[in-house]
Amino acid sequence: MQNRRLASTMLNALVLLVVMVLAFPIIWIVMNSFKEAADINAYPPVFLFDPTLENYKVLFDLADAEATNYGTLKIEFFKPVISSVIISIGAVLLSVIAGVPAGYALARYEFRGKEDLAFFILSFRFAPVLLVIIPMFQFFQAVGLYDSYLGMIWVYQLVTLPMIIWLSRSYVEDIPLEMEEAAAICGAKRPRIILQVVLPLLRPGLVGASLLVFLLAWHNFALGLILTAKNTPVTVALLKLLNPGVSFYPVVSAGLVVSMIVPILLIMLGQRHLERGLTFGALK
Amino acid sequence: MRLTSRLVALTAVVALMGSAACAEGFDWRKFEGTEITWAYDIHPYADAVVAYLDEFEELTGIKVNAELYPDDTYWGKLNIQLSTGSTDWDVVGTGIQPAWDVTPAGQLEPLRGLVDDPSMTNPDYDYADFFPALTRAWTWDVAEEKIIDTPDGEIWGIPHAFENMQLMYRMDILERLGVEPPSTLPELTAACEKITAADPNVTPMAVRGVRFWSSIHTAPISIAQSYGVSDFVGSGDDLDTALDSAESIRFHKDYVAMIQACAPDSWANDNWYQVVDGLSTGKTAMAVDANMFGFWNNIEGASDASGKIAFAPPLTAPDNDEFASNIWIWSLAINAASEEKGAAWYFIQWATSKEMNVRGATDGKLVNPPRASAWETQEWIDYANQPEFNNFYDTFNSVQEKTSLLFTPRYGFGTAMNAWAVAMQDMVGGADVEERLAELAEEIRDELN
Repeated sequence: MQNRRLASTMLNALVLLVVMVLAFPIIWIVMNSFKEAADINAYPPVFLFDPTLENYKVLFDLADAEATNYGTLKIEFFKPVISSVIISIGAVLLSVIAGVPAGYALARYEFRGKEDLAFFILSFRFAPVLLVIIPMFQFFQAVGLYDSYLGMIWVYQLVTLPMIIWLSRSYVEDIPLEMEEAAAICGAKRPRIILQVVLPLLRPGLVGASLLVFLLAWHNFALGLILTAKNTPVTVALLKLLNPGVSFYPVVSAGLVVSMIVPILLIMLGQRHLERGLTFGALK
Repeated sequence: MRLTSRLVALTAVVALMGSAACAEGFDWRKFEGTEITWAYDIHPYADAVVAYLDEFEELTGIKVNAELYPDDTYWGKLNIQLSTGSTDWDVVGTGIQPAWDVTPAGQLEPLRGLVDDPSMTNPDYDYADFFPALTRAWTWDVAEEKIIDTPDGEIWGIPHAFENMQLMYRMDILERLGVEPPSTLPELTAACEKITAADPNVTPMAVRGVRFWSSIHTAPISIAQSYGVSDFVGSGDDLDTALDSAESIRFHKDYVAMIQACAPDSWANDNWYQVVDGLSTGKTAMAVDANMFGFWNNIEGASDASGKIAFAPPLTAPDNDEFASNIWIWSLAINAASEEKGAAWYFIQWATSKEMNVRGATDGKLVNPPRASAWETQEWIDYANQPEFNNFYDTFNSVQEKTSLLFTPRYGFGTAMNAWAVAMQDMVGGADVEERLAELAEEIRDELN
């Protein structure tokens, strides 16, 4: 009994240590976002300081630029956040609409080259984006998709679609075939079986998978950098805060905090589903 | 805004309007109604232009979209835009070294025709007013995959602002530790050892170390010159690298010893961000890099280092008093694929005019201004000699006399100079200097052939 209590205490201490290590960079960034440059640069580092909202004012162009010494370059951080929301949600929705039927087909149908096709889809995730970015740039310019939300949602399928197809395939395989056969015996056709039997059962896993791929889309940088100009996602906007003429660390910290808000909110809302998404299909 | 800045701005507006009206009928509104995109590095130099963009639009009726990206990212995006023949960007910010690699492929528009055309260039523009070292460096002809260095060649870019390489040091730290600013490379090594012994919390020296040619173009190429070392010797078909010469071996031994004694452990990953950071926060006592980093941090209220950074020429060899300083020139050029070249040229001549030069400089952003006349303008002399800038103005004048582009103009510049940066890392990491330089020279010769 005593041994078990000791083991439990040690385990809890270990978990606490891991949490501290993982959370420290985030806590540090949040603290820096409320510091003035002098406090950020202080050595040894300061943990107690007079908080300021000035960095957030600069970020959303609410401050007198001269007063903050950030120059006259306008930082319009709100638009990139909105762009990222539109692109990431759009990409996830398109992937779910296109990917779930594909995943279902891979799970339930037998056809020649099935595994090769599945692997081919997954291989999009292996290809370094930088290899395809230049032809992609030329193609986007030629067809007028450059710097458009539609183009970005489409190209983000490279990131999101393979994951949705593979995860939904795995989830469908986890659903007993007998349930679909029972519905078929009752007279239901394939579309009705998918809509009324399979999809409700897939929902928890799909919500979790969508959250996962949303995070992948939200963090993507290279595609947004090369294929957008005005409709840049938040990852590119963050980089634009680096300005050699000023002390940029405070404003970059504020930008990082803002860029984390949407994913954190979504994770908090969908935490239950996220866990389900990660483990769905793991056990047969 | 400071009163001086307001007065300068007012004078500049009047001067621009005046020159527009009086320039013998020069038609600033020739391209009225057009729209151009100007791409540039996120930088105080960009800031100096953005601050007055509305005036340009009012003067010419040309709408300018500014597309700005941070340093490394900007270069990647610029390469893609130019190499794919995209028409998106009309005016681009660039430097001479990258231009050597893109002009033979016809990616930049030659400008001499525009500069010499009185119907396209305001008679008050005065191209000859730029420092000759800068305009000369932007002049060459191209043949297939070759740069032909000739003073009568094409002009590929107009200097917007430039940096020369200097030793910058925190006066407060050196004074506290009783260290004199060094003037030779071995003196620098000795000063670093003294600093480390006196206060181990202070990093004696910051200098770029990344595996990219930008690490070479600050301290190494400037100091190497004093040892009698050039990147290449000869010309044309006889061009050869000089990096395995006896002088080069001597320089590299001293330089490697200096880095080992002076630089932080992070040196191999340090870029200008870390160099500036070290100086401005006081973690570092000295740096050899672009002089405007010291200037910007000296601006009142800009950083904790304000008023504490002094300037000196780059280090020399122990037996040579002659120093040399390399330059980096942020310049404006026209994308050869641009469909609005006329409007693009109007923007360039406005942004690089005498008036904009002085305005940007006295705003504390366009430093160093590339026009000789700016350095003789009383507003700039008064501003640059304010106490917080210490000896910035005088040091600039003494260094500028010995400032030039120290790299050899050639297509393929990036490949060879990146290899030099990699070799430098290896030598600092312990590789035998003589052997590693021989390998480097062989690598470069392979590329030459």
